[in-house]
Amino acid sequence: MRRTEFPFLGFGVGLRRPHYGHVLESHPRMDWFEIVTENFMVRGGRPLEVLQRVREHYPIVMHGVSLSIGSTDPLNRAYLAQLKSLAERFQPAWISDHLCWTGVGGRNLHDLMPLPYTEESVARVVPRIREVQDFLGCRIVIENVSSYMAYRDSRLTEWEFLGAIADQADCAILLDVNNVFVNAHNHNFAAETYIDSIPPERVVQIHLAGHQDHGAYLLDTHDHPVREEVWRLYERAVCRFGPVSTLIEWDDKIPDFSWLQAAAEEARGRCGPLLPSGSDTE
Amino acid sequence: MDSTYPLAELQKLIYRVVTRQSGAGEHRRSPLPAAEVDKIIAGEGRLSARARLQIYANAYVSRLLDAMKEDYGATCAVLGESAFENLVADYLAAYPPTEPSIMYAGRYLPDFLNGHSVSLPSPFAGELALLERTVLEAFVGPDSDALDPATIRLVSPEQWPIIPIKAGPNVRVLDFEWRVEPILRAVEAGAAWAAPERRANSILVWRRDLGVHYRELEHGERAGLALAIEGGKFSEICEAIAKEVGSSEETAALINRLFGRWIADGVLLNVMPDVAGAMEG
Repeated sequence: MRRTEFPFLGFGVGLRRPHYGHVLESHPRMDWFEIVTENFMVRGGRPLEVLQRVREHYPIVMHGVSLSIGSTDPLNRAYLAQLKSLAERFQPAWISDHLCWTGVGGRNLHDLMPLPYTEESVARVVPRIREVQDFLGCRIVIENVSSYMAYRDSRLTEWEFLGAIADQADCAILLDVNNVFVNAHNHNFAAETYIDSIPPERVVQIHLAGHQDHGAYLLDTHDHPVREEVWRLYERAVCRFGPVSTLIEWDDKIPDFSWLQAAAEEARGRCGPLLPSGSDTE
Repeated sequence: MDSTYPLAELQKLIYRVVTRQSGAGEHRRSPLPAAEVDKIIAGEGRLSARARLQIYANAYVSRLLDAMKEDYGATCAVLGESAFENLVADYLAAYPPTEPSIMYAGRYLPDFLNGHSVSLPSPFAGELALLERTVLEAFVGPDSDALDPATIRLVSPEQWPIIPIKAGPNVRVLDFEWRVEPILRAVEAGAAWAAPERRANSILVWRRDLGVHYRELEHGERAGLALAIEGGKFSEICEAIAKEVGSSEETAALINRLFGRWIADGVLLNVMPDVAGAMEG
């Protein structure tokens, strides 16, 4: 895999329903949008109309929550067919989903459940990613999830696990820096070690988001501004990885669009001084 | 070192524990295998293994409850938050989600509500939920071209009897015991709602372009629209209307007015290519 297969899109935000009107009517400055794929897996109507009109003006990335690549259930062929059909129609820059399982036994928890970091899990997930990539005809991008539990059977660190899967499946990584920060708190490791250990050539996108502090744990809620500690982790990532397409995620208690724009511009501002002159961040 | 559980068994156990601890879900009454949980999930000073799983359990029910409150806002308003939450917990036990999209998690709620004790004080709630569900599904249903007046003007009087008439793909007719449509309108407008009248009525739901509409059918529409939903010839639909209202001097005018209304509202599908085929046939 070459990182150049994935273009540098710049600084984007998630496309969310409260902002549809503003985006369609005002065409605000934004480098790109990320959609939640499942919200547009419908037969017709306003969601697809909105996406069509957004796509006419902006690049998009399709970010799914139901691929369940880590499940021990068979891959959902109907879901994959819908995913492929949507991608063929809207031509996203890439397709991403999470390194997790969302259900088993035909049931769906509608949550991103972590996997044990074991060779068994690696052996389970790698061929599934390869099969998905073969079906879609493109490399996919896999995101690290936030987690609140760790398995006693884990023998690898989370970053070793993510790196091994990306290398063996030959896929790309969407590094959620907020999730790294959340997990470092929840599982007592140094977030910097995580950032310093991920194979840089695999990272093609970064997520930034806010979380809630519950004292004993941090909860990845995507309903707060990015914390300063997460921004600093982002800067560390940029120093290591170079310019990477960056997305501000905000999924609940969604503020005015201008807030998200400001956050995207902050990411651009923090990125610029860290890179060698001539690096593309504009 | 071998894992305590093979991955498949581990995931099934986690699923069972999360849905059990959520208080919702199909395993909520099954014994909690606490000792097994401690074997597989690491707990430490700040948070025990069980507390860590409780985070997922809380998220499971709250995420699905939020989705269903959004899908069934009027039903939730009628039942009250507490009753709605109890309903959803019981519903998830009977109908655990199986689809990739959370939009389908609540698809069986209207029927389930009809048989649930929370509907006893509000026996109309199941019909209200069905109306909300039908509106939601029309919103994301297939796109189509509506039959428009300009197209109709191309049809000569001699051709009318045999032209095919078909309702759009998102057209539904719901037969109710209670007049729940005003409740949905009131809740959508943020206004106070009143207990519904108990009177048999039929509600038409349809989508025109991107907007979903609904209204009570008038006398004479039911049979004709039922046939249009299946697909029928113009003459057959006229006969169905006439049979519903009885033949009289006003029947022809009524048929004319109903078709005019259906076309103006965008209820009928543009099947003009089929008309050309019917002409040749």
